[in-house]
Amino acid sequence: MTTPLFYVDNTPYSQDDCDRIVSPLVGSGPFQNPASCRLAVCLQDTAHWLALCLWLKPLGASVLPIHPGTPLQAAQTLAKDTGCSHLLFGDNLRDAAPEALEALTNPAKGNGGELIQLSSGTTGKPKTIARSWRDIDRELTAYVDHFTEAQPLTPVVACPVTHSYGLICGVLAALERGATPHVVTNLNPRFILSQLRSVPEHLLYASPTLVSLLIRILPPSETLHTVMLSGAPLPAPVLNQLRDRCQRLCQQYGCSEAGCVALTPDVTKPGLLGTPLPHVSLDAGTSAEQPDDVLITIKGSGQQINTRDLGYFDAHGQLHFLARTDDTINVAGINVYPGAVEDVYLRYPGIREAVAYKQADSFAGERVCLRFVADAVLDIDQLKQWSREHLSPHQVPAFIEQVETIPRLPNGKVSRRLLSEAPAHTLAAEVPA
Amino acid sequence: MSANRHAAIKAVLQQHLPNARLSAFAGSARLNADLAIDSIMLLQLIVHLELEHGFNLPEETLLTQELETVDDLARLLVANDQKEPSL
Repeated sequence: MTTPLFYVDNTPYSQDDCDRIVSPLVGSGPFQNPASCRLAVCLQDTAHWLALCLWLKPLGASVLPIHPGTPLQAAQTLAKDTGCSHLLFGDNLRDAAPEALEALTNPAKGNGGELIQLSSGTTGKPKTIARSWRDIDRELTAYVDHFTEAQPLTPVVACPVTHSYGLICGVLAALERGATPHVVTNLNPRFILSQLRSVPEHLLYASPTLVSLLIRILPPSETLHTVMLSGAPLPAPVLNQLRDRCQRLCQQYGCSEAGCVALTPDVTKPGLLGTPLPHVSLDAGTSAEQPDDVLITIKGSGQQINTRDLGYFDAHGQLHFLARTDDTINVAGINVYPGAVEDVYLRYPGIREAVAYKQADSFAGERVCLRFVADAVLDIDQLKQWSREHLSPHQVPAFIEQVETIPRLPNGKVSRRLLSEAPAHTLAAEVPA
Repeated sequence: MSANRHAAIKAVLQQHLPNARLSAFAGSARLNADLAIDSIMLLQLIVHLELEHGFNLPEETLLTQELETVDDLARLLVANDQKEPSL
C-alpha cells in the first residue's frame, strides 16, 4: 500500500490510484499531444478531476475546470467561450470521452499550458482569466515560503477544487509542502466536523459562511485548529465570534489573475490582509487616512492589476482593506467605508445583517444608506437617534430601512452597486414577505 | 414523528430562509428544483434543524445522491440525543 497523495471524503488516493484513473486517456485523442490541448473538464467525481489535473499540469496542457453539477449545455458554452478544443463531461473518467468542440475563439497558445478560470465578477459577465502553470508554480513556492505556520498542518479543503482557492491554495500548496490534503465534497456539517476531528492539526479552507455554520454546531468544549478565510473581510462581530472558536484564524487576499498576494496567519482586526507574498509587489495607500487602490505587480511577467480595492499599508508593512473602491461613499468630500458603518450597526441589539451603500445626493454628492435585517421590528426613529450617538456625522445614513432579507447575487455576495442603482421601493418589492 | 420533521423543516424555511419557495412546500417537493434551496441554504437548514428543533443529519449521511426531496431529508434526520465522541 503506497502512501496517499490526497483524500476525497474518506477515500485515500495514491499516485498509483491516480495513474490508474487517467490510464484510459493516455495517448488517446487530444492526449496524443497534451501540450497543444485546451480541455474543459466537468466531472462529478472530484478524485478523477484531481488525478486528471495532476497528470495534465506537468505535461503542459491547458485546462478549464468547470464546477460539477453544471448542466451539459452550460458546460459546452463555457468551454467554447474560453476557446477550448475539447470537453470532458460526465461522472468520471471511465464514462467521459472528450468531445471535440468548434471553438469560438482561437486563444494564443499558452507557453507550457494554462489554468483557465472564470472570475466571479461582482459587476456583470464573468471574465476569462488564463494563468500559466509556470505563474502558478511561482505562486505556490511563494505561498509555501510565506505561510510557514501551515507547515505542520493537514489542509482540509471544504470548498470547490475547481476554483483557484481550493485547487491552488488548498490542494496544490499542500502537495508542494509534502502534506496530504483532505478534500471534503460531502458538505453535511457533522461529516465535516468528523473530518476535522480525524486530523486534529487541521488547516480548514472553506467559505466564511460554512465556517460560521460549523462553529454553531461545534460543541462548546471544542475548538477548530486553524481556519483560513479569503474574500471580502468579515464584519467585526462575525470575525470575533470565529476567533473565539479557532486556535488560529488566518486571512488571505488575492485575485484570479495573480492568485494569493497577501496573507496573515493571525487576523486580529477586520480588514487586516497581512504582508505581501514574494511573487508580487503591492502598492496601496500609506495610512488609514490616505488609502489608495491596491495595485498588484506580478514579478515574473510584469503584469499589473488594479484590484479596485481601497487599502493601505500600516507602519509594520501589513496591508489593510477598507472597501471596494466602487463601494466607497464620498460624502461631501469625505470617504465613508461601508464596512465601518455596518460594523457599528451590527452591535445594535437584534440587528443580524446590515449593508451600507451609496445613493446620489444633489447637495452632498453621495449619501450613506442602510438596509438591515433584524430579529424583531425595530423603531427607526430610535435607531436614527442611536446612529447620531455612535457614528461621525458624515457616516450617519440619510436613509435607513428594515427589510426581511438582503438581496444577494447568485454567488452569495451582496452587491452594494446593485443596491445603489435600484430605487429603494423596487428592492422592497423584490423582498418576499 | 415524520409529521414533526416536516413541520420542523417548514418552520426553518419560514423563519430563516426567506429566499426558499415556501409555496411549493410538500413532502414530495424537490429541495433544489421546487423549493429553490441551494447548497449553502441546505447547510443553513440542517444547522437550524439541529440547533432549534433537535434533529440532526448523522455524520455518515451523504448530502449528494440520496437527498433530493423534503421526504428524503425528513427520513434522514435523527433526534439529537446520542452524544458524539469528541476529540
